[in-house]
Amino acid sequence: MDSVVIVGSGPSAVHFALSVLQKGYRVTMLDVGYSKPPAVNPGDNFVALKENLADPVRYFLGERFEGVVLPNPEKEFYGIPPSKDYVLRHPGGFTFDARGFAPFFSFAQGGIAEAWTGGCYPFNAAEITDFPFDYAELERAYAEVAARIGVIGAPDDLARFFPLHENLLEPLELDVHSALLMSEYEKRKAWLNRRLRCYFGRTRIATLSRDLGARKKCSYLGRCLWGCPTDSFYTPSITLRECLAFPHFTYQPGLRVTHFEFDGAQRVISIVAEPAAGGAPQAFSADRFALAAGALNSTKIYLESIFRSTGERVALGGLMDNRQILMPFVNLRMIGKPCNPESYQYHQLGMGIESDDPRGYVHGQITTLKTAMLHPIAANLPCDLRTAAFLVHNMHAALGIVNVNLHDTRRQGNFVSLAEETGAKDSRLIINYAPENGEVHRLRAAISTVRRALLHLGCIVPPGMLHVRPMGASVHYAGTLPMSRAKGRHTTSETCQSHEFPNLFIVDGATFPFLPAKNITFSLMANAVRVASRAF
Amino acid sequence: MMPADAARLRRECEVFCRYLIGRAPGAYILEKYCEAHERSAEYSSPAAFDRVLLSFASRGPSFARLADSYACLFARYSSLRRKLILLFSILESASAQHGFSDAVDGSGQPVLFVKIVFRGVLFALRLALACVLFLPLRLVLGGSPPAARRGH
Repeated sequence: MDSVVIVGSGPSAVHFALSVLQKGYRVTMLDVGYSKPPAVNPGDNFVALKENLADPVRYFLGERFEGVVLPNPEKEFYGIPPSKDYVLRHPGGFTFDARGFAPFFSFAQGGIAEAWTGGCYPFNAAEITDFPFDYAELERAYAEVAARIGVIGAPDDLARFFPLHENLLEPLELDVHSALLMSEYEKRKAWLNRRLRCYFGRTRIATLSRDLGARKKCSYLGRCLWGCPTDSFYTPSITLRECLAFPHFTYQPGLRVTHFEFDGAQRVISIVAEPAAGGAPQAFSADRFALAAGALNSTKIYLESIFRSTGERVALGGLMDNRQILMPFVNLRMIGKPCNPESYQYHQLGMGIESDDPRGYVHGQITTLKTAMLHPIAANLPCDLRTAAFLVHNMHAALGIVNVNLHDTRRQGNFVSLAEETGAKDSRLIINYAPENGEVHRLRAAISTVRRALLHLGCIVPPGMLHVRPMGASVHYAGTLPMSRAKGRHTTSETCQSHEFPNLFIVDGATFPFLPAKNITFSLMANAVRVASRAF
Repeated sequence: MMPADAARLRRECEVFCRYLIGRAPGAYILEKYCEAHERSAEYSSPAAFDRVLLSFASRGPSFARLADSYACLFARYSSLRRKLILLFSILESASAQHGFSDAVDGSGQPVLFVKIVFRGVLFALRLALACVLFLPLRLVLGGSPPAARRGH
């Protein structure tokens, strides 16, 4: 039985692991693996949680009140809730410097996708023209992942941007606000489609509208933001649990991989990991190795390995991420209406803006606010807090936010490398990013179109509330070790096999040669399944 | 925490709670407000103007509202504003019995719009008065430093 060592436990890692386990490989997964705390009062809905918990403030705001969003110049409305703090915890010894980029790293069991919002948007054929394989391969993998995790969706106007694939589940019930937006869209779609090239529809989300194995369908507890207590909402740790049922799977948490060692023929011999709590490094041997720790972490391991063996400090260009714009809005027809917290909380609607170049598609996710904290919004209103409290409570049901995503391309000036310093046990990661020329024009055009589309549906974007998030905020990192038909230096094959190290596979976003304006996670899982199917 | 500090914080919380929700805080809210001050240095400020603003606001709910009318536009990072936002977040995290009532104004949209306009006019008047009081003081004492980025 061939053996594989996999680094990381995020969406790419667990789906790659499950696929190769099903093929009979012996798999060892190395991971820092900070784990999720047990769900509190799993049967309670959002309101009951406030009533029944002995200390609800501690749950919602955290032990150190880190969930309080104080006024900040960056205008971030929301952070990771305290119940998901473990997702962004860092082990000692991991350091980085970033210019023009605000990166997030996760060392959690399940990776950063333990705190994702569930968007499952398949890339289409036009968006993978730089990828060295056909769309049909990816389509099969999307269907496979959808069957594993449960993805809801509908064949509506957005299907022109997100191809339909097999195993889609029927959508969840819409909340009142989202239903109103959809009905207004149906009345005005001719104008929106023709004049703005703007389309609305149901989003594709990794949650269950019917039972799937041991997981129960969504029961509308309204606790999505704080962590679904019933596993109806998918996170990669669910697939990790499936992997653990295989007798030839070994999960080794508590280890941070620093580098791999290779021989004169460039074959990787072992992966070296340090205990996250401190201690002597350990080496793990196998026939094949897979880096799936997230694009930046995998890149760091790759760079560190070359540096330790050869002394060469390589800079890998092409780093990408989706620029995001947060556009809060008020639906005038919903003002004064009661707000029902017992509903699905993340985006249920999406919007797509067509472009002459299909790769220039702009994607928006529309979240109607029901159980999100109101104090960040109240604090940003230009009035005293008592007046703000009156306004937000009476406008609660009318509030929404569009998260607008723009595509990104590989540019050599956006690179990842290691710091030139001596004495450090482990090198500091350097990240450098600058937006492409003309980004301001693209941002303005997208903002203007979204604003006009919302206005047409009876919604206004309050002045001063719009926020262009810093690069790095979307956590859709890609492009540093791209798949390529040509055998260039520091590239990978169509099966994500390193062109430098023949028994090394890079199974995460690092290998994507283009980043469409879509949440990348579903494509990461599908690509991992595709690689396991083609190369193993 | 020194007993004098605890007493000051409890008094502050009582005033701010009356300002925000129109009633005195329960024991649980008082406890959480004091606990936040013990666990984080975010709510104190060495700036002289911040201290004056806070001291003025702590005199009573009407004073708090007047000071907040100024702070919401011209002292957004002041300790007063931070304390009020902290209390707002505590009230919204607690059950309806302790914190905000989530009920909406049931008078219908036209009446609600009139109420919003009326509140807007009152705010503008309070703001004008607050500017007369605080702008000269700020010019003399200096402002609040902008907040450092809070990372997660």
